[in-house]
Amino acid sequence: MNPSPPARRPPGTGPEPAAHRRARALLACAVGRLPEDRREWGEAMLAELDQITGRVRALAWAVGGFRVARLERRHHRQRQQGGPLMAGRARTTGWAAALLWALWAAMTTLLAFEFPTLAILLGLAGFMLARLLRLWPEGVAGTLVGAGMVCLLIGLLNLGGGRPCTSSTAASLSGILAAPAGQASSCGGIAPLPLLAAGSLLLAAGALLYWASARHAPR
Amino acid sequence: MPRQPHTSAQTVSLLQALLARPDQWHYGYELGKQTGLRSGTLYPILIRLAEQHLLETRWEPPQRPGRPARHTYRLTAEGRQLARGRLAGAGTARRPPAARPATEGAG
Repeated sequence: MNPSPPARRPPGTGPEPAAHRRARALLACAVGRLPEDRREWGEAMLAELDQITGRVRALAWAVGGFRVARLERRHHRQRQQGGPLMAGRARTTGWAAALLWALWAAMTTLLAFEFPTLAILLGLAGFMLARLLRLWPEGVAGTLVGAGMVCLLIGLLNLGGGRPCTSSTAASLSGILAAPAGQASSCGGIAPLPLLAAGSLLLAAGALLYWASARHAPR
Repeated sequence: MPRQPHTSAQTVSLLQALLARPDQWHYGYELGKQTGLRSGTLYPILIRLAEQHLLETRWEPPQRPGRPARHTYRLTAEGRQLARGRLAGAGTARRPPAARPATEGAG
């Protein structure tokens, strides 16, 4: 490719219409946002502006430049990180990974003690946080899979071992805290089926989320 | 399984337009008009195709003094092969875009 920036409108060809001037200024702004190695494509778009008749078309052409800039900046970041998703960033953001780990543990604990509403709320908060920190989608998918696996583990460990606590004794965290120590430890454990179901569901959701995001990652 | 690249409706439509006159150089704006793609969709696809050596690009010197040089595009041999495969896959190989007057052919 032989870069050759487009020439400016010379004297004698008449003044450029105001709408085209505005569109050109807008597109030039978008071109300025392109990564260095993509500037030539921005110049190509600018050169085409001369061929467009009609101010709406010219404006639409210019606005498209911002989409190109956004996509190319994202593509540029991904190339630098060496992966199609956000894994590179997630690897380098230790504190964010720790935060997701804490979230995962808290979600699992809440599920294990049968506080599904709180667990779901925490999950939603984590989802929004992960998006904000750009740990989407691996962060969220990993959290779901992690929480699912712990639920399955707790469920399997309680399968056939002991009898579930009744609701009047220690089936929930408040029950355990309120009950005498002897009573809390003597009732056989946690009902495994809800945990196995929740674990399977979380595991499937995490795997599905990762699969869908990998499938739709830009290439 | 990851999605096969260059199979989106927009990309196939662009490949179809480029393949209709494979030896000619095409302008971006003309391709946009032919395919109905907006600049924000068209150029990322062109960039991706060029990056993968499926598309040749060149700057065409201005036809009139003072006019800007224009960027033009055509499929490479590898690009044509891929385009034919994708069009056959999409079932559009028998429906090339309506021929336009050869105003965009630059060489």
